[in-house]
Amino acid sequence: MKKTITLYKRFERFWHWGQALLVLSLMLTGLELHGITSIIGFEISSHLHHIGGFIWAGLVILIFTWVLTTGEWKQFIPDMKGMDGVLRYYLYGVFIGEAHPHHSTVVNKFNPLQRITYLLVLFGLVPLQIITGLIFFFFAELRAAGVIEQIGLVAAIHTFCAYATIAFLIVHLYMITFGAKLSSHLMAMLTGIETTEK
Amino acid sequence: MNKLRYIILSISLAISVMPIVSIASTSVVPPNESETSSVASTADHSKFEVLQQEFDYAPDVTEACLECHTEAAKEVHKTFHWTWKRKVDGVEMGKSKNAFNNYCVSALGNESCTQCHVGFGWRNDEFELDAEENVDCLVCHDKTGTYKKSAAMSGHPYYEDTKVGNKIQKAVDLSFVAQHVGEPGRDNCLACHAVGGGGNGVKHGDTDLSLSNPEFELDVHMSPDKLNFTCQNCHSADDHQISGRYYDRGSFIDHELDMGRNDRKGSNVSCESCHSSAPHNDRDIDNHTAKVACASCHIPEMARGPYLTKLSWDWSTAGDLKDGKPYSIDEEFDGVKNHAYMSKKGTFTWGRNVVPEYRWYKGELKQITFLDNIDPQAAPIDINPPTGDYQDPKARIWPFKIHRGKQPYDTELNHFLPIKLYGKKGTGAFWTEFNWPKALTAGAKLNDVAFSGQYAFIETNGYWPIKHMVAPKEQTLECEACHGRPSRLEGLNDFYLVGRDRYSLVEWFGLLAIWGSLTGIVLHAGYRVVSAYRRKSSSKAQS
Repeated sequence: MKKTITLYKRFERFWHWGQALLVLSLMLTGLELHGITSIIGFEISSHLHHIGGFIWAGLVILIFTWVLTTGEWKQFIPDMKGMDGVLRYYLYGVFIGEAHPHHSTVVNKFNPLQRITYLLVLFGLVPLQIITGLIFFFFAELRAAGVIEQIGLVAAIHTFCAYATIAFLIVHLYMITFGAKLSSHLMAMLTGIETTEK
Repeated sequence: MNKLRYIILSISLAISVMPIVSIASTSVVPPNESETSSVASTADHSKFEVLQQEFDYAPDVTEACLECHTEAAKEVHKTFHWTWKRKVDGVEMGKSKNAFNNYCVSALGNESCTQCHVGFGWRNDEFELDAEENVDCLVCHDKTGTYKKSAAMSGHPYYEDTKVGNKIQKAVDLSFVAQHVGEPGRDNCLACHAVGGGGNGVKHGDTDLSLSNPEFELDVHMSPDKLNFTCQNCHSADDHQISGRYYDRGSFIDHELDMGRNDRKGSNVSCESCHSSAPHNDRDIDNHTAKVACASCHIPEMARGPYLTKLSWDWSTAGDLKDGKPYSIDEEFDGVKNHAYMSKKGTFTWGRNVVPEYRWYKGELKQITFLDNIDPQAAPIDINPPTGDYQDPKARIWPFKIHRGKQPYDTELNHFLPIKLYGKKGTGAFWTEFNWPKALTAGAKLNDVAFSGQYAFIETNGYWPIKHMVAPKEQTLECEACHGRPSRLEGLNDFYLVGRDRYSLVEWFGLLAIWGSLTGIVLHAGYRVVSAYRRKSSSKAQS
């Protein structure tokens, strides 16, 4: 029997795709600023990166508020039970046609691997990237105020986080193909509705 | 330059009115009289009786000037234009004492150099530095463009028609010049400052005769198309003291804005004095001004005019003769011909529209002198390096012309040696005798420098901050010139620069993380497809 549940609420989908757009533009302009690519030029990249960064910071504040006030934060608490099954599935089961061991429900929508990954990304990588970005942006003022003299370490962390985010995005995009159908996860994130076999 | 302009102007004028002129009178008005007014401020100098006489000796003109301007010569005597030296940490330095460069090395002992002194006839020690009539008023105040000082006469004007090189230099009409004086214009300053180092554009990289009448493209401030600045608009002057960089003071104090001349203690007006340090209406760009000088972006290249500037000078090859005679070889540099070799001077390179080099600078150059000992192992030796670094709140990144020299030093005593260049046979002058030991012995003696007799040539760097020839804003340097690879700021490594700098550990992590993920995904996806296909075909086979 087939059953549909609304897994991702409207605001959740909004912040997911908003963040996707912002991170993508920050990534492209960031690579430009770092001298890896040279497509739109440094000056325009710099302005776009700053604007994108501030909007992202604002959005992340909204996300955190939402996650904390709705109790959604509980979904990010690491749960190692079932981790071995998930890992076994990705490394072996998927090749022999096994079904995914995790079944999403509204109160437990992430599998153990997702829980730990999203915890690290959303509450580790993202804030670290935004904070280092803000220090970077306000470096001139901070230096004038005598708070920091050099930006090198902050720059190193910011670049490190940027590369980590790109790597995350690549794997994240691949992971959406592990639904019931190839497009299931993508559809769920777009419409909020996940169809599961029950 | 002015003359050339008049000639071109009168020719084109003549052509345009040709049909009328051919039937009318053909009288020609002398160009200078038609152009130059004898009125300066509220005084018409042609009405002063004391100037209405035939002068045949320039100091007599000065005496006439001093009859009204009683304090002028006393003021000039106190200026660097007159003394050619300043005391820095107890050591006197300047063109007239101890200091040197990597062009002709030393002015002292080469009496032709004093053609650019604001006096008459400083040939040797006997010159009276306290004689008021020795001050040359006209070289700065001539408005006719006809006043020319002679090298052979150590700064006296040409008293008679003289052959200089291939052309005739006309005798100066001192009475005419004396009656047409006024505020110094660009040409007065450029007559010396544009030709330092031995010719037009040689020395500075941003100061040549093109600034006499620059197009807006070349210099947005000095161009008559717009602001028509004279030099004193920035190098403000009072009591004949011209503000600017000397050995004992910085060229500017621009970390403190909007200062009056007294507060600046003789340093010159900086860009910030007028423009403020946040003129861009753009926070990101304004943030640069704490560490980057305006000139670094707004003077994207040096020698932006039609003339070359000298980039290197190797004295060690000088003195080669063909059939006992000096010769020179010309080559084309950036589309302009100039000497590549001269028996008198050695080997040169030149350039135009040259990308400057960048250094931390706070308006001060640390000049070394003939009295300083050098370590020959440390070559190239910085003769006058700028000071400051990233940590120094007064220092900013400035563009520089770094003139590469190779010049004589004493290998026993380890100090630099002046060269006697100009002079008659028998004086030891290199340009007449082409004998290094003699020229160095004579140079050392005239400069009070010890010379062991042992010498060699050593590489040196001469630093010339670039600050003139500010380009229109459309030509401002793009971000990537510094925030990119290659970066113009290569070598300035005491800070992190976005776009230029990368940490190899972080980059390796990035490469590994991104390409590792991609590779993993391709392998994983590939095997998924293969295994799915196999399952399909095996289930088909079973059925």
